[in-house]
Order: sequence, then structure tokens, then C-alpha cells
Amino acid sequence: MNDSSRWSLDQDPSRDDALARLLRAAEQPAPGSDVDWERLHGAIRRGAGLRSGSPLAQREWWDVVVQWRGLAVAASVAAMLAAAAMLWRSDSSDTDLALTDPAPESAALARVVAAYPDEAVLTSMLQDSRDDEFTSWDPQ
Amino acid sequence: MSPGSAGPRVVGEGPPEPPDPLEAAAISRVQAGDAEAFDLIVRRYMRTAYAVAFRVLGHREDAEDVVQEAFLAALANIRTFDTSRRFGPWLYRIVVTRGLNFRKARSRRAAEPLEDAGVASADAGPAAAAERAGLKDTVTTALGRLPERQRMVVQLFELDGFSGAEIAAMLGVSPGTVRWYLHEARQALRRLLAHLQETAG
Repeated sequence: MNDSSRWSLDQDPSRDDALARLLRAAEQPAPGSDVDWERLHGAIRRGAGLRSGSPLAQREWWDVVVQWRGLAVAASVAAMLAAAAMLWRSDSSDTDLALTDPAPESAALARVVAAYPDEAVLTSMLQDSRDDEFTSWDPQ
Repeated sequence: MSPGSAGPRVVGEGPPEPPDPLEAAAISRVQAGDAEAFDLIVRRYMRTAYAVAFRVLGHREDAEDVVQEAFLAALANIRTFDTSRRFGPWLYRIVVTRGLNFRKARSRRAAEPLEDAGVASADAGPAAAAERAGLKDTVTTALGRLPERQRMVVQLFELDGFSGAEIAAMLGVSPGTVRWYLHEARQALRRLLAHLQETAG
């Protein structure tokens, strides 16, 4: 047998032919020499559910899910971003409308008041009429 | 890797060997559901997978069962296999893992020695047959005294022709660890079989 007192972490040692001969002589017949390979091959085929020319296992529904999961996640994120952007835009449009356009009622009142600049009583009445409080009539 | 080729070989660390293009194509076809391609892969790797399983289990029928299981497990997970890598090391790792589990389950059922695989040839005459039986007993006993991993490593390296890196991939340890196991196993066998050295040489 070879001198096996030295060993290297980085390289395989040379094969020890004498040891191999000894080990091989002790395991005659060689492992596998008595195996019926065709039977083993057939068993593997049967286990895999194979017939000649048949496709391998049919695809299951989760295979489709797994295949498309990346695209589904990306589409979901894109949809969420689009929804968030639309929501933000609609909020800011409302704010712009409120800031730039006076309420229709206020605009109408303003036009009436402007049409009668000297009618202080009318102005007072119109402004007072915006108070929607009902008060009890007390003649005293 | 060429299991069975017994020529001395020095293998250092390095990038893993690229797969054979034909093999990569066959694996891609298996991933697409091609049964004939799976057949090719089985035929190509069945014998080596059996050799590995036998080293783990030391029993013919158990090794056949584990090979069958390993191919079915490989097929079930074939879509996760990276075709830029070699199929063999992946399959052998499955074989070893399943083999060790099988062995553990078997040892719970009953402690069995390694199979008596050898049968002395009747044609060789009674004296030669007795001599061979004695040699076999001595070597089997010596191998049985080794820790399981050392025994597997020395057999896979010296008898089946795997490199340290290939055995490391199978066992899930570093190549350096495999080389240490090999060194220890050789030392022990050298000590235990010293009296056979001259007759074998």
C-alpha cells in the first residue's frame, strides 16, 4: 500500500492501488454485477408513471400559480400604485375646485349684492337669511 | 468523473465542471415533461447511483429501493434544478441522503451487518475458496471497524473512482474533510490489513 502518512487539505492523494486491489478482492462479485438493470429501470419508469411516448406528470394548478407568481405580484403592485395616484389626484382636484371656485350660492348672492350696491337693507337681509336658525317669535 | 476508472488522479479545488451540453439539453426536456429524456437520464446514471447507494447501505435490495426513490425524488424536483450545473452530483446527494435515512430506519428495525456480497467461486477449488473467504472476512471486519463516513469515503474513492470533491458534494462536507476521512481510513486499514499486504501485492 502507498505511504498514506501524509495528507493534503487541498489535493486528493494518489489512489492506493494495493489497497484498492485488496478491497476489490474482498467484495467479489462486484456490487451491481448481480443487479437486473432492466428490472430496476422498469421499476423507476413505473414509479414515475411513465409509458412510452407519454408526457411526464401532468401540470397541476399550483404549477401555473408558481409560474405566474412573479407577474402577478408585479401587476398587483402596479395596480396599487395606480390606485394611489388616482386617489391623490382626485383629492387635489377637489381642493383646487374649493379654492378657485366660490360656492354657487355665494356667487349668486355676491352678484345680487353687487347689483344693488346702495341697498344696505337688502344686503343685511340676504346675509342674515343664511342663518338657518329658527327662533321662536316673541312679540315682546 | 468516471467511477470505475482506477487510474491515479490528483484533483484540486476549482470551479465545478460544466455539464455536458447533451445532458443539459436532456434535463431541459425532462423539465418540459419529456418522458423519453427522463429515460435517457435514468439509463445514464442508474448504475453509478446504485454504486453510491450500495456504499451507503451495503445491501443490494435496499440500494435498489433507494436508487428508485432517488430518481423519483429528482423527477419531482426537476423544475428546481439549475441546468448550468451537472446532474450527477445533485442526484448522488439525493441518493446519499435517502440512503442514510433508509439506513437509520433500518437500524431501528434491526441491526444488520453489511451484506455478504461475495460468494467464493466453486471453480477455484476448495483451498482458493477458503482463502478468498478468509480474505473477505478479514477485509469486511476491518471495514466494519471504520466509522461509517470513513468507510464510505475510502470505498467511493478507491473502488468507485470518485474524486474528493465529488464525495464531498455527496456527503455535504468540505473536500478537506473528505481527504481527512480518507487519510484516517487508509491509516486504519493499513494497520488492520498489514498482514495481508504481501499476499495482496
